[in-house]
Amino acid sequence: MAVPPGVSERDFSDALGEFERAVGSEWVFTQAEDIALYRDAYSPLQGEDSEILVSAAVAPETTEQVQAVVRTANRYRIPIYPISTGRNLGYGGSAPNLSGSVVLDLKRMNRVIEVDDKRHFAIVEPGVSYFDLYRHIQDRGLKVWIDTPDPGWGSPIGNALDHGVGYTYGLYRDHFNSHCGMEVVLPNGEIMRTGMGALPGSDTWAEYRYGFGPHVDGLFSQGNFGVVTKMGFWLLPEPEAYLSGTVTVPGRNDIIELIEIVNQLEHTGLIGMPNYGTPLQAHLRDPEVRSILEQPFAAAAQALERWARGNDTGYFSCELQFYGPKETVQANWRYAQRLLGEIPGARFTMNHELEFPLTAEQAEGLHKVALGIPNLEIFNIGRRTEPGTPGWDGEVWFSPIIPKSGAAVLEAQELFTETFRELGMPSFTHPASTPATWMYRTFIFIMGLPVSRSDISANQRMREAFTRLANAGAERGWGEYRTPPVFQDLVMSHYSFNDHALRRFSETLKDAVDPNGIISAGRGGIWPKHLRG
Amino acid sequence: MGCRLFGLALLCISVLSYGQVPEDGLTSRELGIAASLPESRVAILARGEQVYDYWCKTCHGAEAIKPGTGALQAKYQGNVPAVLVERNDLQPDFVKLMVRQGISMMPFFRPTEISNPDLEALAAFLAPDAR
Repeated sequence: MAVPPGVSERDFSDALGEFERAVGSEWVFTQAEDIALYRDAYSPLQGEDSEILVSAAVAPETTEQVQAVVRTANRYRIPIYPISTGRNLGYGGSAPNLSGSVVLDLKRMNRVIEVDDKRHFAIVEPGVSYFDLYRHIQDRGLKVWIDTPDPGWGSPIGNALDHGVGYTYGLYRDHFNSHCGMEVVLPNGEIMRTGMGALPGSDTWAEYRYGFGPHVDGLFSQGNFGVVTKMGFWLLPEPEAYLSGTVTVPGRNDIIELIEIVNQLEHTGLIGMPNYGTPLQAHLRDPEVRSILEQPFAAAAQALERWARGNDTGYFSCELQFYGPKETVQANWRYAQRLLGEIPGARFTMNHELEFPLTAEQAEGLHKVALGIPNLEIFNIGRRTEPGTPGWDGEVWFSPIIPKSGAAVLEAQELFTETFRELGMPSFTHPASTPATWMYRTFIFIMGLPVSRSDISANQRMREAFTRLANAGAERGWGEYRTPPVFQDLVMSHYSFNDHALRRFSETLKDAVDPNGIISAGRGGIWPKHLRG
Repeated sequence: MGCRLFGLALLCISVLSYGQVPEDGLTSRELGIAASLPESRVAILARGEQVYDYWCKTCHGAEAIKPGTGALQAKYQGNVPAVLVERNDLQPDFVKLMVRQGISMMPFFRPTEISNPDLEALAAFLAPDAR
């Protein structure tokens, strides 16, 4: 039997007995074939001695059962690691930071507590997936949208707590920022409710997030101060219409003015998520373009722009998405064309207009997450596309935060392309790469680095590349917004202002709130006192 | 919908009646987690189809854009059907192995998602003799 670090076999056995009495013996997993299912399916450490494994898993169905499990864990000083649906693939999956932890699997806590389509919020438990919440809403004909990340099997709570993101409108895309109210089981087993939930008899728990006094919710995101058992989320009222149009600009430096204007449109609420791209994507397999991209960065950038102008493809593009009344989305599209038309050579394409609700046939082929429809189509990235080439076995996302400006995009292209060149690896970026725009007020210059189930040396090279990229970004002042456990200490080490004052503050809180260090040891780079180096 | 048995027609109609939504079906709470297999074979297959619809169809459905379907089309080039419910060679032990071990991009699934009885029902639903 695997035993958590620092725990005697006898204590662990006694604790498992208490877990079984709390949740039922069928929901305590200790057999090797069961606990193997709590590895990170996309672990870059798989098959190596350092792979993070768990000692057991416990799956409560109610908050009271969570309290009982946490009290037992605290008494025996057993490290536990809560997961919601356990599908944080690319950022750690269901695996903890500390090998030997007991996973607290909250998938069975799957109640949709409330959805209000007049005041536009939902309150859910951690095991509810985006699919579940969407189906609950559709089944009842409620006129609200969820904002979903790419994989619909994730949990609104788990995703928000890891600062996950989506695709629709403004602040709804930042899932932690659109949460309102929490219920948390603290390390001593007490229940706490935040915001208006702290006021007995309040009926505004999911409407006013601050309540009164310090706003502590952030401690529970990428943190380890408690087990979140309920959360509220603001929902977008179903709009009447949607319009998608694309602007294409001819020059590489046009990205600077393009982003300035699109920022203006977005920050005044006229558009949802802008999708930057490049028409050159369709030509990356062209032998001439491939040869251009093999040149040093500055020369490649110049040659690529000449090629784009010579072939009249355009260099950068941006899809603009408008949500609202039919008349308004059309007027806003005209307004956007007026502003963007100031960029010499800008061209416009109207993609499609929709009115809601959609039929299944109308939604097929559209970018569903932009319409609040959960799905799993993101897994087409990296999958097998040709016979004989197996595709990826998963990926780790490298996701540095960069400013929302064209200058930063051009600089990030060069910084990361040159880092790949120094590593002697094919680059995942090039002089026409564009950032992800999920965050309302910043860009994520994301790239997926593949992992292998069988090639340990390839995983080791990938980890080295990740570390070099992260260090290069940090030297420039660009840190990751989210990362798998294996890189969390590295990323937190980059947030080092004033001798790591932020981490030291969190450690001070950790020691006070969780003196036995039982909850998610190491999560977010915060370790309990007895495990700090 | 992959309604493979006449006896399941009612179930399929009830799910189709959600109608307006592309990713229709039960919530995980409505689906529940089976603690034991139903007694009758018809009920086992019906349960298996529910499990398939909730857990598998989102990646292995009939639309070409489904990643599992696309990957299997690329792998087999049409020599065997890319859509799982059209296959007649999926032995129960193979299905159980895939669910608990995963393959390529497909991760493994835990008993809190697909319990052992639910996995038995799913494997029975996809087995050649269920056709």
